[in-house]
Amino acid sequence: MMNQNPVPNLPQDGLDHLLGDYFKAQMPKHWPAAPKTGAIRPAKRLTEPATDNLSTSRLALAASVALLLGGCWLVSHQAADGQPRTNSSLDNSTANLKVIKDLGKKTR
Amino acid sequence: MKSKPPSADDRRAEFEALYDRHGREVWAMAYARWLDADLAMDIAQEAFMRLWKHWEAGDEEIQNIRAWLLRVARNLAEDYAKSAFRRNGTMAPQQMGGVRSRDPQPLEMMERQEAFAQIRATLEELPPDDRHILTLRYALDHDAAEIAEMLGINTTAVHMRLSRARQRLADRLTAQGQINQ
Repeated sequence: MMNQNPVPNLPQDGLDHLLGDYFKAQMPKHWPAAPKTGAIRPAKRLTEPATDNLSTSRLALAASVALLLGGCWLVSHQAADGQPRTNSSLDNSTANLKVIKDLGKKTR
Repeated sequence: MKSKPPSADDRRAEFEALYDRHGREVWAMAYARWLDADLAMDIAQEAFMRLWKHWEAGDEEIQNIRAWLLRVARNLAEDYAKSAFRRNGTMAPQQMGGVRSRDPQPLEMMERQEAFAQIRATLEELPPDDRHILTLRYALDHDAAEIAEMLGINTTAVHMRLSRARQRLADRLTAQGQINQ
């Protein structure tokens, strides 16, 4: 037969005990570990080293300056000669043709 | 000069420390809202996951992480209110009356469960703020001064609300023969 007064003669703080038991029973028996967060993907804004971008732009700037200086040097040398150099390569090619023709005559 | 950003290991360690420090309080707040331990745990875990995502996204630094977590958890609990009402407005049968299992139990356990059911029924009639105070007091063993500091209210208010909640519980449980006054 079921007891009609199941928690008889509780002390004055019986309610406190009962409430303590109730709330403790509601809490997880084993508190779970912190949720798994997986592999961290650090925020780019916070973690990407600022020096990477800086060094890339510095390299690009150095290359640009080198190209500019090289171009200036070439132009200045051509101007210093005072003669256009376009024919020189043509003269060489003509000379080469003559050599080939001479070789052809000798082999006949 | 900017300080060096924390490494992944540092972040994870900080995350776990925060979870240890504030996890139960976040759970208590969610529990007080719904009187559902499992749901409260889901809400607590989700709140912490959102903290992690916040860090991952590199959004602005959170000044008061505890307050941020509690606010997120409160919002999640309220969102659940809307979705639950949309779905069916009720709860799982095994959760009703605070009895988690319907398996046959020894007489003592049944009596205990009956008392718990009465407590739960009374808690449901209390305002969520009072339930929150009771949860902090009895689940997490905080005293009135600590609760007052946590909730940003004065100690007298905590005592008053605790006293009111206890009186209602005592009346109900006495009427049901669960306790003698």
